[in-house]
Amino acid sequence: MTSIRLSAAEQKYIIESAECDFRSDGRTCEDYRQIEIETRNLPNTNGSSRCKIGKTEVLVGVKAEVVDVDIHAPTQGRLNISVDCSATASPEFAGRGSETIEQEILSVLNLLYSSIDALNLEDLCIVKGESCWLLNIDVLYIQCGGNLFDAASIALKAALHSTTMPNVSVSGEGIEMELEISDDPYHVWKLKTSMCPICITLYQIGESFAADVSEEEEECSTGYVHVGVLSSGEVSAMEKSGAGNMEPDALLEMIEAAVRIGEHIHQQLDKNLQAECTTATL
Amino acid sequence: MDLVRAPYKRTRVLATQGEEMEQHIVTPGDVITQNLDFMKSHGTALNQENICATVAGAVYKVDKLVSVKGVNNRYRGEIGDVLVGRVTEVQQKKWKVDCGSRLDSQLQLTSVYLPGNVLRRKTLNDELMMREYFTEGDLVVAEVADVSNIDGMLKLHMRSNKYGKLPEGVLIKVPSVLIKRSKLHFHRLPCNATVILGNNGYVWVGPHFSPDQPIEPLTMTSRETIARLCNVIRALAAYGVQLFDTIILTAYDISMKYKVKELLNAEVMEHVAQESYEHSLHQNL
Repeated sequence: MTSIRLSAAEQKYIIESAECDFRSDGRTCEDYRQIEIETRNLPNTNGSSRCKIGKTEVLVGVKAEVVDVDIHAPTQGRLNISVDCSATASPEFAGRGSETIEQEILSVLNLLYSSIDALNLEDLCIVKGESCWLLNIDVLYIQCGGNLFDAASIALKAALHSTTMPNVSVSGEGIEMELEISDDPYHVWKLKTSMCPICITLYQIGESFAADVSEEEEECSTGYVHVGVLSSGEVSAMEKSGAGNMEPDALLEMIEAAVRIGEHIHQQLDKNLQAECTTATL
Repeated sequence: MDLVRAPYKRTRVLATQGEEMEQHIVTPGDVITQNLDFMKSHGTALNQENICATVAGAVYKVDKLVSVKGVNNRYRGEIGDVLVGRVTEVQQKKWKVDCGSRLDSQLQLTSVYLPGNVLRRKTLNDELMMREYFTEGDLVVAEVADVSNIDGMLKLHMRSNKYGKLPEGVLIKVPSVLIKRSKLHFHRLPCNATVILGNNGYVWVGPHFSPDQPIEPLTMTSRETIARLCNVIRALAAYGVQLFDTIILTAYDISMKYKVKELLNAEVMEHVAQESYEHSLHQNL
């Protein structure tokens, strides 16, 4: 979300384009730019992915470690997401300049995965009440070109899909319990990502709304809505941000649009991830 | 075209177009030649009886003159350049304009024509009304009047009615090295759109406009034309093709078989850039 200064004339052009449903690059308000996705690109991780939407490029790495279970949830594993906007993405992100946007992205990702159904956390439990897997998820932005939230959520789902978890054998009981983590790269299990949500962010521009906005369009927007959509088309989360009012009817339209877009992206994403899996095993 | 796909492997269409014979790509420190008969120009230096490159780019040899043209440089202005810039500050008796060079350029109040094509001595009232002419964020097109010796800061002027504030349109930033130096920078294209190729790499695409006359509300066809031109320019710039009016028109015609939004896809961009470049080579020969 780097700040771009626009002239009144440029803003008028962008707002009127959005209202005509023909944006400055020819897309309609619901069209996404082509999404490039690649998984298993970081060798030191359990799972990783790279997602590129237009100019925005984000890397996600998933690393698993065995930790003590949280006493409030003794039968579940844990997720620890952290977001980093690299200074190479924008000079504004040097030093502490990126803190605000990182917090915002982090809160949206945490919102999406706060539900126990998103990623079955019970699968991550090793010994009930004792040990579980902690997934350390790092999201790194290399380039920013608008639509940071959606890119992160898509990359996150892809990274979790590609994650391979080692098997753990438990021996002994009580204090003498020992966990042996298998080194065998073929004796692994995969996480179930069918319920992982994708965030579709819709920005209100003038009298209408648009998805996958560029930085210039973001500058002309008044408020935006994050909608977490599952592959089944259900809405799992919603958050309205930014300064600007929204009509309740407009909000309902935005949610319906987000569901349409989200279902389509899930379908295409799952197809690509499956194709990558089959080429990897060949 | 699929919405989600694996990463596209971009192939090289060409390096920068050069009028000279052989071109080698060099990095700083590479030895170009050991023949000291050559005269050293920009981007070269003498290092222990060798002529070495000091920047990363392509080597140009014209007769006995050797130079290295870097590709990723910041724009360095020259007197007479026409450029598109964005006003960043309004100061006393001058505006500061960002044009992609190392320092913001200066536009003096005395160097502009007032609305109505008036050139008169500016009064105190004019000074107080500077924001009425250009405010922060406005896009302007101006000419370089002077380049400072000390720090390379550009001084701009608008001593003609074709320069001034730009109306509704789109600004695209491309590397400044891709803008071919030519006599004309304002191109009123036959497809009812205007393209201004600023020497600094800032390209403005918009409808036809005359100075001091409000433009009519844009129709869907003009929006389509502008969007298509923008995508075509971005495609050419992504593959390092030098930009000038004929190649943009060629690329526009080649792109007509695709929908405007399809021009955002990597394969289509490569196809358009490749065909336009080949077409322009044939035209030159």
